[in-house]
Amino acid sequence: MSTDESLVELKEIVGALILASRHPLTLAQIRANLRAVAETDKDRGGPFATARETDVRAAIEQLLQETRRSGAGFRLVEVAAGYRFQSDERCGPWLKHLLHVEKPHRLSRPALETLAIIAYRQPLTRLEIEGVRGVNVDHILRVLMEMQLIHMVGRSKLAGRPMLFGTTKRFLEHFGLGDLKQLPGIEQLARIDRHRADELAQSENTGEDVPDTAEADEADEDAKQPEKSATQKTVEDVDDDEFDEDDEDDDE
Amino acid sequence: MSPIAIPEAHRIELEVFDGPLDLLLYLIKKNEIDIYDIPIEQVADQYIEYLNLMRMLDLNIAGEFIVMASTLMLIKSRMLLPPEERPEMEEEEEDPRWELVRQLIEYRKFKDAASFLQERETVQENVFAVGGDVVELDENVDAGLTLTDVGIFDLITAFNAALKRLPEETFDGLYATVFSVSDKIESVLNAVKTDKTFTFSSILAGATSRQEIACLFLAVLELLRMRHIVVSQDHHFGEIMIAGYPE
Repeated sequence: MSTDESLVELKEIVGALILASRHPLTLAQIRANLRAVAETDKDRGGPFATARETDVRAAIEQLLQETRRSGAGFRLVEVAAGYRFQSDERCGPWLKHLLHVEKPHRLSRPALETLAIIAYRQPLTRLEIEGVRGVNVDHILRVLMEMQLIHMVGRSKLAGRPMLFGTTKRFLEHFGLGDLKQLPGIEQLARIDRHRADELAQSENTGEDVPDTAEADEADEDAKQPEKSATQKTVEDVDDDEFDEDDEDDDE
Repeated sequence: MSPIAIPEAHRIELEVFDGPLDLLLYLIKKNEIDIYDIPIEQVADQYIEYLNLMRMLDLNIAGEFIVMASTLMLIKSRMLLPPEERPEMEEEEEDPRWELVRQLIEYRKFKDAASFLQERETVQENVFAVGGDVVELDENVDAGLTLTDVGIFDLITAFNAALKRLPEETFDGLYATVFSVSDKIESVLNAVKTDKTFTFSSILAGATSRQEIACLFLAVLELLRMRHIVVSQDHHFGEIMIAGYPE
């Protein structure tokens, strides 16, 4: 038990902040809090005003390890680019009973597939999603928007300015992901830039039926030069030439 | 095949959100076909058989299914031509199946990614946190059939098997019993209450007409959508089991 006399450690403050927060707390939010308190309460807050990002990160790292070993039924985890305490998944049955969680809402396969396409390829238009799934996704997009798992992240520059979709923070929370990089194979499945989207959108304007990925990929030659903007996450276009080769592992 | 006459009042609007690529991948898996060397004739025939079954059930199938049917026919006809006589516009030595194969493989990767998300979702159901995320789905929003292990095409396969067991349709006169989907919904619900689990084929086996089988089938779909029952399979293409929705 800490008394007034004993000095509080940075780690303890960080842990307390995360515990009391309603949403996953980010490093930046924690540091902003430390600075704000230092201004209003110089005596107690002062020593932590200068905490650097590495200090806070180290404190979190320690908490991550300690709570993982504690066996207390909960631990610190990274979710949606922030941190939160959550219960051990093995305790689910008892918690469900306590909290009266009845039928869990599970997403349907088509909804999950649509979500996967958006997660890996964002930002992208409805037409691009349909290009992959080969079927209309209007209804599914509406449901996913309603569940706040996806949202509109902008509009394509192309004629008609079609909406661009992306996943939300809530998506990461729902699936317990720290960030999009935790999606398996994101490097291969994502695509490098917007050129292909532009191609597809143009074919929409000219009234072509099915987007021709082969042609669009060729137009992406310059995609080989990694020129990434902040929103573009990835490295290599999928299956450009030799798809036989890199598909072997999931073709058992 | 025309839709089986189901009385207008009992008709149920069931959206199928799976597309033609899902059906093709299903057939490829079912027949253990090498995706890089699809026997297009066999696959096209089966594809059209399933398409007809879906029409028969009056499911709301997407127009894309029809487009794909014609694509398959086109590929099939091109395959018949010796390479040197294929239309000019195609790049030489390009296999007519190439574009489709490419699309199927890409889509299959996303299906794997969806499986990953599904696993995560099941784990997260057991995780609780302060201010934790509870994704609420408005009851009024129809998210389509929530089929997990068993897909719509598995059910259609079972439906097709039941139809084939049926003797040739005989004209059963003016006093034919008319079955309704709502009656069947009740009988399936009762079966779930008493028997807990049973096979899909066992409930179809008792049916004596195409119309009854169709009503049973639609009743099962509707109960799945309303989350009163769940379906599962021990293994791919195995027997489909029906059980009450777990509390």
